[in-house]
Amino acid sequence: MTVPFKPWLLASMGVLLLAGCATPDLRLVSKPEMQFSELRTYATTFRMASQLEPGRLATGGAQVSVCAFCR
Amino acid sequence: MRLLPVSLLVLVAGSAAAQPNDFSIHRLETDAETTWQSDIFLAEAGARYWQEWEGVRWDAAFTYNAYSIEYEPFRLYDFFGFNETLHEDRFAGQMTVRPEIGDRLKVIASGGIYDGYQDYRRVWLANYYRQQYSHPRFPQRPGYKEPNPKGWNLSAGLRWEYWPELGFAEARAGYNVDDVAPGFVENPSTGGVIQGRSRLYTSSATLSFENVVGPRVRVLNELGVSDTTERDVRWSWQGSVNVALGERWVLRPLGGFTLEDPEFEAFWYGATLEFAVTKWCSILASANYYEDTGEVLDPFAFSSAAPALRTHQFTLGLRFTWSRFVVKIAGGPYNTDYDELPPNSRSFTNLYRDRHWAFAQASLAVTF
Repeated sequence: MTVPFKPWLLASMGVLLLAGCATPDLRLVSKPEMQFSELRTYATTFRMASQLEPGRLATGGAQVSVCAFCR
Repeated sequence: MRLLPVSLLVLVAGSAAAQPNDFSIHRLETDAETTWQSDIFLAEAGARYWQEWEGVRWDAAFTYNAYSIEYEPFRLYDFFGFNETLHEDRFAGQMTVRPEIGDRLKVIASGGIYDGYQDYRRVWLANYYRQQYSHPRFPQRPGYKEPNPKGWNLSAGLRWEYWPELGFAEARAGYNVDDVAPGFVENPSTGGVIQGRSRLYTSSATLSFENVVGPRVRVLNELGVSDTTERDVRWSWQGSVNVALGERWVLRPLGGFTLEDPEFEAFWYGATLEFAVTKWCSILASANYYEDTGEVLDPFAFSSAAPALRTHQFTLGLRFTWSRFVVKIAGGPYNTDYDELPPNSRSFTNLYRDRHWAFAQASLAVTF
């Protein structure tokens, strides 16, 4: 098993962590449509993706296994 | 269903344990999605109740899936199969509690159960094996068992607001147990069939960072890893960005990938553009693309694994906001395009054929 090490991914996460040090005006980023909300009325994801696109990242809990018997 | 009464009892007991004035926020959301085309109709509906009370947020969610399939075998390769109309249900419940243990730290604990097939593909495959080894005109083959798919999950984690309102980190670990519809292989020495593994265990972990990186940009990075019985470790990453292009425009692109040895790779990207026509009404347009390499390991072996897949989805929608109510409706085309199956696995041609679906979604949320 080779772990897919991605330096650029770690670097971008570090930049994002430090980015919190700024104190911008929060009026626009506080709007409901600017949140990563669990509300489906504001979410951009859709439920059917878990059935039709088996490689998608599952969020909000443990990932469902994908067809282990059929290979 | 046993899970629904139990979950409802927990919900009612939790509500009854507190005084009305103790509650700061209640929220109820219901939604439904359907996807259909000529031979398959899929529907999923859910209801979720949130409550925030004295530094504790908890929610309970119920989900119902319906699968309707006009099953048709690929007769050139499947001599036993016959046309059949299939209807299956899936019921699921999930409960999550988020108590605060400090000014900026929350614990997240979640658990859930379900009963039924996880997707339409498993309904189709279970019927294939049923017709092969439990055909109504022939004696049932020794070793064949009717599937009884169900499962449960638990997860726990922490959410840390490491910079007030600007930076959040969240880590979770989870464990799933899934009883799936197993596959079967023939045993020539006995004339029976051998059942594949039906119980799968999955350990998983996710790490995510949410950051405000300016007055107009909010970013979410999610990294996931999972390990399922008889499979290699799966790594996934998804990045999402919400950009306020102006007072009335929001652009929400996202992209991600998944890697799983020995050969499975998937990536996806898409974007949603929102325009606030009025204070109460927004128009939404989105486009999404997904591609994977498929799950076939040996093209010369008989296998029900999916070949490589590409999907395209386009959606137009409206969202209405009135005081405490939010309503969203959306719909559009959804195309799935599979590669051709290896010659030895053509029995599954009608499962993995290209399809042009229609997609519709509606949701309603109320805060009180």
